[in-house]
Amino acid sequence: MTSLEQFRSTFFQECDEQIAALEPVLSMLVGTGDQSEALNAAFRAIHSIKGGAGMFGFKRLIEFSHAFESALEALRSGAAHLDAERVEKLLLASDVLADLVEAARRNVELPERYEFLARQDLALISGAKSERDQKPESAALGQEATGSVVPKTYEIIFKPEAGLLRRGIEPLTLFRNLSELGELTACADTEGLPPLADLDPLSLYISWRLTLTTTASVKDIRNIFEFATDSAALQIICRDDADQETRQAEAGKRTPSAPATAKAQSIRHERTISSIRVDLDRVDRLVDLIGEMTIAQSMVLQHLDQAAIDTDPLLYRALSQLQQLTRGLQDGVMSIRAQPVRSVFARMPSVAREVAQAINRRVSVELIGEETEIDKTIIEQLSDPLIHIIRNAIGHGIEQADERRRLGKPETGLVRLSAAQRGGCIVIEVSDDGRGIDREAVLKRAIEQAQIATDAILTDEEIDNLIFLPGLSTAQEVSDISGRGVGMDVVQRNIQAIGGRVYIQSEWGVGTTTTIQLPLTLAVLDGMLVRAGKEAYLIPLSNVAECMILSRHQINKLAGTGDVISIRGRHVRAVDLASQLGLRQTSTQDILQVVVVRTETGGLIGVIVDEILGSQQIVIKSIKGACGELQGIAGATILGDGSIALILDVNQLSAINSNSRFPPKQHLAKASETHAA
Amino acid sequence: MTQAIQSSREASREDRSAGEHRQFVVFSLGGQHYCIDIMSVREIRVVQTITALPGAAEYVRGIINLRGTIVPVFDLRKRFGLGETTIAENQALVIVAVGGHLAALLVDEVLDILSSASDVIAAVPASDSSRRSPFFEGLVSQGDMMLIIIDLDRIVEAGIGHDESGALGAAISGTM
Amino acid sequence: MRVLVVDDSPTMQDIISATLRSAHFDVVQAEHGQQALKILTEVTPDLIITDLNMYHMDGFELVSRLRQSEATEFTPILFLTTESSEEFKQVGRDLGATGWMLKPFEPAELIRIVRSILH
Repeated sequence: MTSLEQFRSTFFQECDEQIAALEPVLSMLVGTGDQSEALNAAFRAIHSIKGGAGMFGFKRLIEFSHAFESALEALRSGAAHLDAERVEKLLLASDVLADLVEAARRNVELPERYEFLARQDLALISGAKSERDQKPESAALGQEATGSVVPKTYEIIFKPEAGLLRRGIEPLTLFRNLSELGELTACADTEGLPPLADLDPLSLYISWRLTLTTTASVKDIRNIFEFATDSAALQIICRDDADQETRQAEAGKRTPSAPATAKAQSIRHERTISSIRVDLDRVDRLVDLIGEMTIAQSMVLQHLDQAAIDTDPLLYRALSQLQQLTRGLQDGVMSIRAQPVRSVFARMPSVAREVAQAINRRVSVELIGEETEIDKTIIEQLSDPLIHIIRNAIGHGIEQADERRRLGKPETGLVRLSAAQRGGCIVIEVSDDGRGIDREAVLKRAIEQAQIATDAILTDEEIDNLIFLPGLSTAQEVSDISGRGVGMDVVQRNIQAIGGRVYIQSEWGVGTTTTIQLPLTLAVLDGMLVRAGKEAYLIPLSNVAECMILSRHQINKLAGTGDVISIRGRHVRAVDLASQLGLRQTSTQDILQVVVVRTETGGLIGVIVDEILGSQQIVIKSIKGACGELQGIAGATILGDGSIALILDVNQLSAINSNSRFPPKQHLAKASETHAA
Repeated sequence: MTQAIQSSREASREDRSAGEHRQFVVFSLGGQHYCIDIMSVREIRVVQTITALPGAAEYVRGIINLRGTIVPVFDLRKRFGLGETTIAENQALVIVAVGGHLAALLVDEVLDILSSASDVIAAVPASDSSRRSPFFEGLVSQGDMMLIIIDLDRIVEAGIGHDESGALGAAISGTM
Repeated sequence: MRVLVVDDSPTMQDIISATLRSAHFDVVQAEHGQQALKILTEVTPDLIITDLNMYHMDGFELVSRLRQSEATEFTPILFLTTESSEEFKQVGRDLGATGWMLKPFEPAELIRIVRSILH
């Protein structure tokens, strides 16, 4: 038998989708004009949630969605009228609904009267209309528990209407169901049959007299006929105790003929299904396999003699086709996991509203680029950081209405949430037109907490990003809203955990923009392969600004800053990768290959490598589990020849140096190489 | 050898249910003999190309590609404070599963598989300072030789990043 | 035996379909009335189970259209819905539905009823 449990995740996924769709629909109700489409859509969303909740027995969710549905029904039927206040109530109710769904998902019980107020609001809306009876009843064709213990004999007279067959009801089925209740004998009355010439083979002309001995009640028997009786005459007479029940309805035609069962023939055709639901695990497995396939393919390519490929046009063509197919397959599978960020974005206006209401601010939320698609696994991890950033933006950024008026700003603050794909990554920005970051206060606090040196000289940008330090979220008045015990350091950690970066830009009095930069997918990366010492390293292509060749004398030493190169007049810090990683002493070569990388804060670093090996698409292997968190290393990949290349995190390049106690180990790679397996 | 370990593990699992015997993989490291509970050992390999892991603790020699899985290599000599291993041809990697991950232990030579009744296993005597270490679980005798049983969880638990290693490194030098 | 399941809730679709498949019915799914009609041009089911409240085309409209179509004039149609009011059932009957079953339902009960219709 099917276990309902396996459908829980489908249900919650559906709830998420419905709730995400609900918010914009309800918001639309504020406008003028015909709202029936929006109301219908909202009603269906709630209705679906209620239906599913019923299957799983989530009692509070059922009751609340029922109240919600009734309110919408009242609005839909015109029994109640729409106004701004009611729309607001519905929006708040949809937030409560989302909480109830979340509680059901996590299997936790919300406080007893959690939804009480929202339910009252809903009841007020639907008040004009009487509640529809929604108590579950037993199925129409089903039997209920048997009534009496002593069997009784009933006489049933069944005179169906001529069109019974047109409702897909076969008398034989009814009789079969009856016979399950007890002992049945049936006698057909063919008196009503018309002459053959007048006979409609699709009509029913016969009536029956049935005798049933059963312990079931009259109600059980009537249930079996429930859908057939309305247009047919049904009499049930109890022979034993003269308990009699008669039900009269319009009698069918009385033209005699033989009943014909014209069941449509099954024509075997292929199924037409426009979409299917697949376990994410299976897709992940595919992603892994395709990653391995890409590697296997490059192994094949590396082992083939390039000259052989060049001189064999057939082989050359087949190989390029293979590469194209692999790439297509990869893109295809990735797109299965991609989802528009809408599902996360849609929740944010209500988050903002909640906060704004609690601390008496006026805020409107603008959503841009909701259709931007990101890997589903990333989307799921995005919600909490976004909520926190938005809380911060309103709690710390947006000023009170009167203060804003004084400053010549619109009284209603603006929080803009945007998503866009830029190059190899997705960029999500939360910007507000609030007061911006108080750099003096942040700096003071950082020095007080000894997070930075007292004489540190920092750029504005660097000061802004200090708030990612633990314990530095500068709530001047610690409010319940933006405080919440977690700071921006947690946001940063969460975003980093999904392979992203977060940074802040702010202008005092004008506003703050928090930018989250995310990878398109967690699994595949375009990178530039370089050699440092004997080892290969991979620099994500999204970080690479340009490659250049310099001679040694073009590197200048600046006191306190280290090596600096000049790129078109701009001074850029230079890092000798191999010595930075402790793989060898500083390079003494005269001609240097440099990969200029751009860090998350927009700064440039010239990375001096021993050789640029070319660009390559690779499958990221996380080493965090097995090897723990390592500064400057974002992961690893296995190259075509089976060797490992580490993936550099250019943002932490300098961190490797300042923290590393790794001694130079030039001998290591050399020694191990002779024993390659 | 790996084959032998597979079958011994099977046997050991059965023994274990009877609660009597433990089996160990015996290896040498700088003349001293050590052993690891066979239940943790997945396979034994000749030493292969090790990729350096910058920023890792010094006793992490690097990482290897084990059929597509990236596995860190622990230099046990370094871990025990016996100096650094110079890689030579006959050295071996003992692949173990610990804490839900695979790890490779760099050892001089794998010698034997030893079966021992659990009551023969002794605690490291408090007076025997040369053998006291947070990484040693106990002693087991093989003929007239005493073998040190290595506590794998301890070796790997501190992690690989340099941050934690400092604290543990201090702990080791304190006890040795 | 083939059953066409029409329901706009993926949860319901999954549950109903899995329930029926576990009883070895061949199941075809549609999200709403319009899609059901499209599928019916290519597939002929032995039974149609439909929800009432759906977007694009609701259950009532679907049933009235099915009864007007030669291919499905006699195909049994079971409403599976949360609506339990007598007025709704009456409309269902008048339009030509075969049965009316309420959500939430017990999977075993659904199988029993489907079997009783299809025997």
